[in-house]
Amino acid sequence: MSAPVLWILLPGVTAIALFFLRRWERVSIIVAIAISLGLGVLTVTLPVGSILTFGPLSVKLNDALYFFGRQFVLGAADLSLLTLVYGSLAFWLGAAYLARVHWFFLPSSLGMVALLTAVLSVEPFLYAALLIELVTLLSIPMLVVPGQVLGRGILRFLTFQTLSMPFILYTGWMLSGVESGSGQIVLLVRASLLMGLGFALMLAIFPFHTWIPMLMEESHPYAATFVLNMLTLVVLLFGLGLLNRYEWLRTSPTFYAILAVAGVLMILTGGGLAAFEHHLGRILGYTVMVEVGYSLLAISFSAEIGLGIFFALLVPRVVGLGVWALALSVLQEKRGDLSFQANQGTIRELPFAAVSLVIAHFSSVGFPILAGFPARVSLWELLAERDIPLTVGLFLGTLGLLVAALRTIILLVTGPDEGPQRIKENIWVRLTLGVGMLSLLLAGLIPQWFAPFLVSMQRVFENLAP
Amino acid sequence: MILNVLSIPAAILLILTSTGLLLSTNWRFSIWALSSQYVGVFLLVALSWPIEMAVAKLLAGWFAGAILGFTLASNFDTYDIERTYRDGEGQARPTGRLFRMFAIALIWLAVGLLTSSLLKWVPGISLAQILGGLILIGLGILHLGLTANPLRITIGLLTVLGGFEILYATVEKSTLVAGLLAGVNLALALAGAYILTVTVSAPALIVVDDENLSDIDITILEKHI
Repeated sequence: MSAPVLWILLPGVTAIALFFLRRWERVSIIVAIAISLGLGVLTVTLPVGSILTFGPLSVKLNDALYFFGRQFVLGAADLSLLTLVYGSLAFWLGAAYLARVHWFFLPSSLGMVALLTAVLSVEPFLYAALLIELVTLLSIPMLVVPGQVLGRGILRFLTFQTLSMPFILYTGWMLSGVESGSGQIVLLVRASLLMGLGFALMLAIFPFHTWIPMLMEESHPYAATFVLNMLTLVVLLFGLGLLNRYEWLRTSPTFYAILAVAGVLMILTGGGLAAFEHHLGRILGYTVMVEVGYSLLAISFSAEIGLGIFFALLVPRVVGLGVWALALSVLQEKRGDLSFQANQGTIRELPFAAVSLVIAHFSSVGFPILAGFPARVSLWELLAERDIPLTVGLFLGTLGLLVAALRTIILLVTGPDEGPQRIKENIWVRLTLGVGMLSLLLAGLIPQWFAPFLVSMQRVFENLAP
Repeated sequence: MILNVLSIPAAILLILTSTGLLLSTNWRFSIWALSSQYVGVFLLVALSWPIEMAVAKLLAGWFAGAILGFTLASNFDTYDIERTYRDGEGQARPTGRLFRMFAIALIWLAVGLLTSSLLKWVPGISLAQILGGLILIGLGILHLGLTANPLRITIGLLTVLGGFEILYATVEKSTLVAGLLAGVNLALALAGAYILTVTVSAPALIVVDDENLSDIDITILEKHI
């Protein structure tokens, strides 16, 4: 048996099985959580190369799976990334029932993560673009549920993600020319341009960002945030893989400069637009843009520092977006929609959802003692030492996000005085959101707890790791 | 070889079908044009790939057309797909068509200008392949830029992918890539069919002619506005 069978085929087959188990919602959720949690735990307890014993049978866990002459490789170092991927999935599935997502969420999310694992492991890497496109298509049933009014966001999402695929595939062909020694500067420039366009479309970098807030407004906030979080996370890791592979790319100062500008532009656009927004779901969409911007900015610093900060941003991001999305799902369920108009004074009826939303928002802003603070403050310091105009852009973007947070607080605490109201959140929602808030607080107060885990993830990119 | 002889007619077929897809307001014609388009794609891909692999493209394309066609046919009673498919042209259709023809001419011009440089960039590619591929990509992107209708978006994306596949076939001959690209085409058609089936197009995307609304239209609009 090989590692890809365990971490790609097994969740893939489970996803298909869950499709047929849809009538038994609770059973499906338990199976999905058990599989994702189990696979997450196995990444830590079952090293690649070890021998598995089942009674009289013993099987060695190989690292490669051959398929149509190509291979999927999951080495020992890759497993730490999978800990993050499957840990995130278990975390999101854990609250899926409370978020009242459509049953499509369970099979689609497992199938998506199986394909995303394939993206990280496929050799040659150019096949990853095709797999990312399949992930996009698999996410459609999660984002568009029966009876939903169709808006433009989902169509733009589908369009931009599909258009990105040819760029990456062609880049792969051009770079193979460079690898085989027939490389020339013109070819490198063309490959870089195509790759830049492909990633700009995939990561919704300005000006291709318009679908993110639209999608957050049209689709269920929990499902949409999950898709945005997982997709951008894996595309970023895929990008790091390219950087790790190509020396000409990781030694190019121009590349890092472009990356820094793109990152700050995303933070500025996301934060700036969030400040003027009147829809809580769209604000979360803009925040996802800001998160991606921070990740790009982190990569733009020299590998020794940047890679560490990149991974330090990931855990707060997964937890923060998860808590925020669950809070929004609760608001949407109880209030009908996420517009400012419909959510005035919500804190009286839904205190846990309101407070956790604000805390997750402040964590994304980079507020001290919250999870987002340690990595962000490092980036602020580094950028201020290097580039003042970009620091001003970063400051303005962060200020925009802070303004959005303050407007959200005002919205949630003020409203028509209707006297004392009954709290409408059930005990499980309170408990889950409470644990989420506590996690955001602990990750901000004791960030060193995650350090060993972050260091092990960096080893995947051996040419970038310090 | 017969495929070489057929390459220029195949490129002309692609020009006709992609132009027809842009100008058509009849969904049945569009499905037929899309399916015919894959014959052209097959012929041009077959110049670079073995016939048995190129046939996969033809079959995947036909299946994609069939998926969309069956979906629309089975939903025809539910809401007036024709009205939705006209996509906002309404009374101004002749002007819209004229505008589209002008835009199509611009794309042809751009393709003509790009052809010679691409011949130098991509080794082993033929003129017909470049023409066919670029025309599909250009007109497909134009299609995507002019519409917010889910069926048209799906057709536009399939058109762009068809063009890309012609160009990409000249540089990549892997079976897995062929299989995955066929899978992407089918999955795209399924996603489009799913969106068409389970959602009601947002009122802003539909040309609402109050006087000609059927009872079913009114029920759907009342439910979702």
